[in-house]
Amino acid sequence: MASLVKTLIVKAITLVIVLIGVLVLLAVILGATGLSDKLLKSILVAEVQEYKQQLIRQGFDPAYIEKAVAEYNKTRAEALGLDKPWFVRLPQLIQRLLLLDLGTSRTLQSSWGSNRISDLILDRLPNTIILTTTGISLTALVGIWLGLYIGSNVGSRADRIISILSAASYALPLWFVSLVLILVLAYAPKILWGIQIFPPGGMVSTPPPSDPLAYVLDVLWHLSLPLLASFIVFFGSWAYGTRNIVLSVSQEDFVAFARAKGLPEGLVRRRYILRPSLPPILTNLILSLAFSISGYIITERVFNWPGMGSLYYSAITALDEPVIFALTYIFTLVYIIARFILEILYVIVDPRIRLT
Amino acid sequence: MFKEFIRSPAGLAGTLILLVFSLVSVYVIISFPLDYGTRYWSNPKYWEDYPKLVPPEWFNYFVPYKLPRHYVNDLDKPSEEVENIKKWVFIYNFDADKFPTGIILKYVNLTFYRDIPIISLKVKRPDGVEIVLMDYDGGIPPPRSGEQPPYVRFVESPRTIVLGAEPQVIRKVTAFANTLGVNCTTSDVRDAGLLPYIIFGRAVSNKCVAESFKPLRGIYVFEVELVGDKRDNIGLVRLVIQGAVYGAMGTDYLGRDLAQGLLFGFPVALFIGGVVAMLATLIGVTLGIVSGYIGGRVDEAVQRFADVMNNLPTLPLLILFVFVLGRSLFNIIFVLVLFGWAGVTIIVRSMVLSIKSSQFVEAAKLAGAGRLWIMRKHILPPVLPYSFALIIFNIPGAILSEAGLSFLGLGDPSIPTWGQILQQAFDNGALQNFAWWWILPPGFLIVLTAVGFVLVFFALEPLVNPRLKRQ
Repeated sequence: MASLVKTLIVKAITLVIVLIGVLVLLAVILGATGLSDKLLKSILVAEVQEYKQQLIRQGFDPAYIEKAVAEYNKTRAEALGLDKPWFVRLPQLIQRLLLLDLGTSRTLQSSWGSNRISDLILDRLPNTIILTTTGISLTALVGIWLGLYIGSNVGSRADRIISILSAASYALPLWFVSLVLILVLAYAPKILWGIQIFPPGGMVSTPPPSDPLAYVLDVLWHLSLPLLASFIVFFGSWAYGTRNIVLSVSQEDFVAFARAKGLPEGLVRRRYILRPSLPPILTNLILSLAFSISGYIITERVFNWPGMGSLYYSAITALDEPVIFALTYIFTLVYIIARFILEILYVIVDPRIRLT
Repeated sequence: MFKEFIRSPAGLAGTLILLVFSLVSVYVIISFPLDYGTRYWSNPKYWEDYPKLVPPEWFNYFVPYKLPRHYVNDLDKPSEEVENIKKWVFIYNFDADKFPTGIILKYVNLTFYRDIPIISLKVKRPDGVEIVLMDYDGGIPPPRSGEQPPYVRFVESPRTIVLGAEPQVIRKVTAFANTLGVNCTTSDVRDAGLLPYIIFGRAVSNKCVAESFKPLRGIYVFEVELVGDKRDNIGLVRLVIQGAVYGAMGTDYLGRDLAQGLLFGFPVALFIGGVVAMLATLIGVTLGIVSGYIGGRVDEAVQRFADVMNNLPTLPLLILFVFVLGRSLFNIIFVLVLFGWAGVTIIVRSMVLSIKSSQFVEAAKLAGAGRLWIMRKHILPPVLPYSFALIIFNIPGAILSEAGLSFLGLGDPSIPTWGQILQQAFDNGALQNFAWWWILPPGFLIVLTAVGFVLVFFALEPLVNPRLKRQ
């Protein structure tokens, strides 16, 4: 037991180091390329310009304005951290992020007008979870179920079809499938026959329905195309991946031995094949849930879905450095937490780890 | 081994796809200039004669109505010449069920000796009506002080008159529409682009909309007339009647021939995919061999690092890197290599571990061979065929990543790629206009390339992977 705790602690420390590593890497990229300085300078210039205009409007004499503006310039530069080089400025930012103080954004706002980054994330995260978590759970459930089935019927027609689908899913980008679905199922019926079968994007209709039930149904309606797209793309690989895991476990010696002992096939499958297959399947599931927080950037853009991916993309196009930092940190943090959860889950589901 | 590879349906299909794609790429490299992107593709001026946002010509075979084709005619000599009047006559046979999308008159090398000549344009319709579209061309620069005749104009860039944007023409066409009984104002005609409908149509209702016009088929005679000094002349006159279908792949919102952009995408996609996969695999194999063979702390460090790189949410980081470093082909390749080597390292290390314990390595060690020598002579050769397969495996990933980045607007702007064509389609309303020819082909090409490489890898893997071979 003590050794188990020690292993988990070592894993945890490694993961924290990874987290810090990513942040340092990010800081170096933004700092060393001069992007951070450039951003802050443009903000400073804008602020000082506005202050100067304000003084001129109030009718002060030019000499005073000159002096006041210079003073203001200096204090603002200090406040923004421009008087220090990036390698002095950015470590503070990293430290703040690690303590989960995400700061405020420069340009982006949440739907209720707050520019605190934690509010921005609270605003968008549920939307992403609605989109990706439902998509992944649905696809994975059906895929895993089918994979377990064909894993014991290798070589059947279903098996061959699934392996082709799995290859296709590797080559089919989710965002392109989404584009095609929007074109064919949302715009084509509307333009050719004048009926709107599926909405072309967004999360709710404008204006949103006021009745809660109607609201939920409206969101589900908007969710249907993204879900269909992710089902088409990921279903094959879930089924095929599960099939391979089941297949390799069922070729192990202990399975052959269980069969040789004359145990009923149902028992062999449940206890000797499914149980050891569980950890790798869980790994897939949890890691893809973790990735989904960040991974649907392009697809969210295609569907105009107001989630985390869209937020990250607008942060980058608006050059909102604190938001870029905070989101990258959150994405990595989610991944690292997922990895740690996995380590613990392995211990629970795999007696071989628990007992050594 | 090659026979075995070709005999599998996946191998055959994949090889065929890649063969066709390579041949197309070679053709493009030979026939397109290297600076095609900046010189032609991103230069809207080059595409001004082309119809905007129209489907491919073969679309006509699938619809119950006939769309007019693109009409371009150049006349380098006047068709008629009487005294001081020169005439260029264009005969356009309009036999479609839908309207053309625009009319453009162009001329170059206008030479005149005294006053500015009067250039006019009129059209005779099949129903006998004659419309004067333009009385005179007000866009000819008069002689500068001190300039000696002959005065030559429009030598380098041609005089271009887009009829649908020329106030004089719109005024006259609006007046004509009113005589047909359609209540239009000049701003209606200009904003709704009704000019081709009025010129080539007969009215069926008095509302000022495109639906009020039915095509009037038959021979249209466009006459460009120059009245001036006897010696005055024009080098070349061109009449363009922009069709409602164009080329093999249609055009986009700027009138760019999508067939050309798609063709240019072939070598670009293969180049990006090939270079990224090759470099990433090279780094991955080297690190994998070193980490697997040397072991210990080096192994631990390399593997932890590879593990992190392999599992990080790469897309946000890719976007960020390309955004920060700048949108150039070199940067995109650099970033894709940076995030692409880790998977290979992990696979190669596991292979090296099993080779390392084999007898011939032990024997070489006992014989006093150095680490580098053993790695080169004993570890690398069995890993090499599989590394080659890994390159193939990594190509589609790189192509798809580049397409994704381009779709977000982070592609190299000087080179047309499939991802960029898709991005421009998405951002410029291809979905809303149901411009399927602008969305489906680039995406299908991306997918087909990826499928080609995936199939080849699937057929190759059992042949080169020692572990799979044994089974």
